[in-house]
Amino acid sequence: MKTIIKLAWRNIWRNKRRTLITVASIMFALFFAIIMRGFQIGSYAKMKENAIESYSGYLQVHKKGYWDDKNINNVFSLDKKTIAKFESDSRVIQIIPRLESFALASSGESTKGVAVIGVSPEKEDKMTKIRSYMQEGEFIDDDDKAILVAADLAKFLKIKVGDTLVLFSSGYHGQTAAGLYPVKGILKLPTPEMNRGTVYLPIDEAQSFFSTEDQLTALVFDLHNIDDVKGMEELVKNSLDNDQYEVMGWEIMNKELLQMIESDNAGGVIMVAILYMVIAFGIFGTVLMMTNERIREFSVMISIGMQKKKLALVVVIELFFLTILAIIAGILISLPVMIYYVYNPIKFTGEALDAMKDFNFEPVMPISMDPQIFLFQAISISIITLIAMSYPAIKIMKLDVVNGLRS
Amino acid sequence: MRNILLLTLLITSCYSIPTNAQKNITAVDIIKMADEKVRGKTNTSVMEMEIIRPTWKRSVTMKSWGRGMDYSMTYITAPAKDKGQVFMKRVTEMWNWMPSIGRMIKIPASMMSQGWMGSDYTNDDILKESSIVVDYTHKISAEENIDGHNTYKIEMIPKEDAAVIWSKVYKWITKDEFIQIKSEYYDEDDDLVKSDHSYDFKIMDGRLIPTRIEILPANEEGKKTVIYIKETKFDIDLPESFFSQQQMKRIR
Amino acid sequence: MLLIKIAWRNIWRSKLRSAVVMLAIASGLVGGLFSSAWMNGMAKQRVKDTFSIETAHIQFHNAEFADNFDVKKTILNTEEKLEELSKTEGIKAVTSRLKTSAMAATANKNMGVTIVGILPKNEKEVFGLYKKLDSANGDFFETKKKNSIVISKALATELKAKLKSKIVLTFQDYNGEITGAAFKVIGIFKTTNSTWDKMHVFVRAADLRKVLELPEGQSHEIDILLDDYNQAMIISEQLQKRYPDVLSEDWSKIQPYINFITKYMDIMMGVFMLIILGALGFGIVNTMLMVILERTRELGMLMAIGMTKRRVFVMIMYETIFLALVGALLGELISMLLINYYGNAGIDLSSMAEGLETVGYSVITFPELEPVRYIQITVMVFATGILASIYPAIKALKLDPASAIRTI
Repeated sequence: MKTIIKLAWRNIWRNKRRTLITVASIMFALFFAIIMRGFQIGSYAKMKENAIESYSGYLQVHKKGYWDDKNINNVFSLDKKTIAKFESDSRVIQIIPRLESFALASSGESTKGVAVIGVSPEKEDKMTKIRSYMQEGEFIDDDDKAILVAADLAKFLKIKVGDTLVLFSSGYHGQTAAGLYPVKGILKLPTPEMNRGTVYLPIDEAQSFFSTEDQLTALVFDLHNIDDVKGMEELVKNSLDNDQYEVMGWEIMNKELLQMIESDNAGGVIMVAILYMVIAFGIFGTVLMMTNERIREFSVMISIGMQKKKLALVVVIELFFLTILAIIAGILISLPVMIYYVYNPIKFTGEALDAMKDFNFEPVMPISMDPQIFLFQAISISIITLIAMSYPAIKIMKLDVVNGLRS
Repeated sequence: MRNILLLTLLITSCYSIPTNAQKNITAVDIIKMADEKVRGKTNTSVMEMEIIRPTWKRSVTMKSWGRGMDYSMTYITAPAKDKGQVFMKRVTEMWNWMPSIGRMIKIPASMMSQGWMGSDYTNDDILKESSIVVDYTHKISAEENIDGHNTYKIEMIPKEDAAVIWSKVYKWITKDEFIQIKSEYYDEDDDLVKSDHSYDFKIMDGRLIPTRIEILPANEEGKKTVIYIKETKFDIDLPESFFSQQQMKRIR
Repeated sequence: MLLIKIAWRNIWRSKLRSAVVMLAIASGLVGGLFSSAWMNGMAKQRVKDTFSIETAHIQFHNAEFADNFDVKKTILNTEEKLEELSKTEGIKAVTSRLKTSAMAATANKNMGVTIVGILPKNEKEVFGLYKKLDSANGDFFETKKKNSIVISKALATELKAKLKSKIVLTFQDYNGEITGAAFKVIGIFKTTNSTWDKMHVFVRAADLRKVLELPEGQSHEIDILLDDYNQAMIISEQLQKRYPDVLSEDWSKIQPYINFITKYMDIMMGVFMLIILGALGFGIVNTMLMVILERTRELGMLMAIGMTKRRVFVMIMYETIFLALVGALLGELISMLLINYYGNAGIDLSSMAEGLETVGYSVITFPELEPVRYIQITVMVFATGILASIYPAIKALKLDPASAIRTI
């Protein structure tokens, strides 16, 4: 066996040119597949990240039943010790509180139903970068009794910074919620829908408005890494009474986004499959020609006594080595290209740029370097070459030595 | 001779007229009378409303003034956080005065289906109180005994164009005093959606009226609204001009 | 000229090798073109659906109507405007609508919706919603009955309503008063966009006008269908000048998202084709190198008997180009057949229905590709062929005729 391997290895290097050409074809195929998949997955990762960091967070804790029935009576509180315990976990960046409900906002003659989001300003900004949305006025502080209004909403209600906004709603246990708030700032929110009907209050003020005392509608977890979600979810679920509280990962809270990504991904997989089809032909072609070129060589070997089986094995192992070399080379050349695009992502221009800015998407096409991409492509290429290997093996087994010698 | 016969006939028929009149009372009349009983031409009352939910309870006390079905004003006296709020209905409009923020708010269409003060009695119910007469065709469908009282069971079917969500309403009204004891509200699949029930009949300002009314959403355990009428006076002097935004701000 | 003939014949000398290369190119093209056509078809469908259901090509509103649907912010002299517009060149059909937001309620539930008051005849000329009702689900205002309403399947499920159910709509009228009316469901529709479906209910403009107490001649929206939707931007600007009292917007302003999706798809497809051509290019280089290797003896002989290096270069280039072009033509032919077939029969994606429909994509798509694309592809393949031939050709030139002849 050792001899066969040695023979295979030496054969490869005997004809450097041929080896290089074959390796090159596999290598470039792998390169293209990796890059293409990298871009595809990169944009999904970005979308998920956007959705998570701009609103839902990685994980949320609610009162049980809140997600299906989002009313102001489904509030809860957790003791400081438990929260501190969660926050001290190395996977957690911070835990931010939220109190969200609906109210009528009115100014002068105009009235509109709006979403009221009670937040802890600094904490909220750390995760969602809400400060960067500010257009006019100033950001709120923890103890302000002031309000931030979304841009289109401000336009509809005809209010500016300094005006007073009336909020009116039904609070905890049906208590009337009514308040007057000076508008401290106006901000342009990421989605048109949010921009038309959202206001922000400091959470203490929101709790006072809705009479919920120190209760919240959600505790939002900001984690370092999206892969830690499952683990963190486990930990939190095990630490809390599951009859009183519900713990939700970002996936449940962003169902539609995920479905959209799924369907897009399906399209993407099809594209990669097509690429592989092209690649497969290329590889088969190469192997085909390589084999035919060596018919004479094979015939000589067999006629001087080598068993057909052993010869076939040698050739197969040659191909095997070539594949490995190609995979390593392919990954090696992909890496610098991918790293380049990680730090210098492709930027959209023109109309695409404007459209993306409207949705507050960063107008870039990001690339992902998830090791799974490399693994998957390497395996796929290997399968193709494996199938390709059968050709020379069969050809050898069926070789008509006499004619072969004459070619 | 013939004249005497004619006279006798005339006299006897006079006696039978009252009994015929009794038999000819219509369903809509019954409804109107039951409503007039608790409303009078005008009324003023002190009430307490208890909102009961599976995990909590809340009580609101109020003073109210009403004129017919189209005008009403309510002043909240307790609890402290809600005290001072005034609600007013003028025919098709509903207003809310909030002294804590010094604002007069007109209740928009989007809030109509919400419970008033968080109860099971919606803003829409308040606005459409006259609807039970105007929007339905009424029929006496049976006579039943409820809580020891003989009642007419009135079946109410909404008119074609009427803007009511119910497909059928039943009301049980006592035969002797025309007090509405029970109502049931059904959807188009004939499922019960809501019902209300009256208890504790007492005499107030000369009328026998129920002083405890329970509103029950169907199929929801532990959820109901109970209204207690503490005192009430009828037919006081209450002109239409009383029901104004200025009055809302002045009332105590 | 002779060189071309020689190059052509050379290709067919080794049938197997050439066949493999051509098939590789063909398959790559089929893959690329078909998926382009598919994505294109999907995007086009989305765009057409948007026109047909949501935006038409141009819309007029009162400049202050915006998204908050203030009942009083109307378009005046609607009838005159419709008259003039229907006589304007480039405009295929027009209609007007009333629009307001309301609460729709049944005994069981209530939901916020947008009521659209339509002119049944005109509406059908501009919008295609009426096609989204099947006969089992009623009709789109065939009946003369007053206060009829058409709602979506999604909304019907939420409200627990069906055909002939009563829905009570409550809203604010022209005078700011709360008013409402009962409507009977006469039709249930379903589009591919369930989010849009839940939000919209349709009634006769005349019925709505009465309850709203909206004066005659006023409406909230005028919708215009053009002969060519690509003219929308230009025509909208012209109309804006003609009617300064309204805000005229073309579909790309009303739903910029659609425009974005189309452009994005285009870019994606372009990139994909580039990648495929790149992969193919390398394959061709590879093959030609093999070829050179194999024909070392022959090439050496040719150069020995006097063929100039330049001619050898050109010959190899021709060979490469021919391989590429034949493969391309084969690929394009197969693509055209496939695209044509599926373009008519449609591709069924029912298994992914839910996710697609939330975002508004159809479950059955029809691939479609503009003819100009085929030409573009051919040119690109040609270019790839030329590029791919350079390296092998150079390699050929470096051969030393003397030692080449001696190769076995």
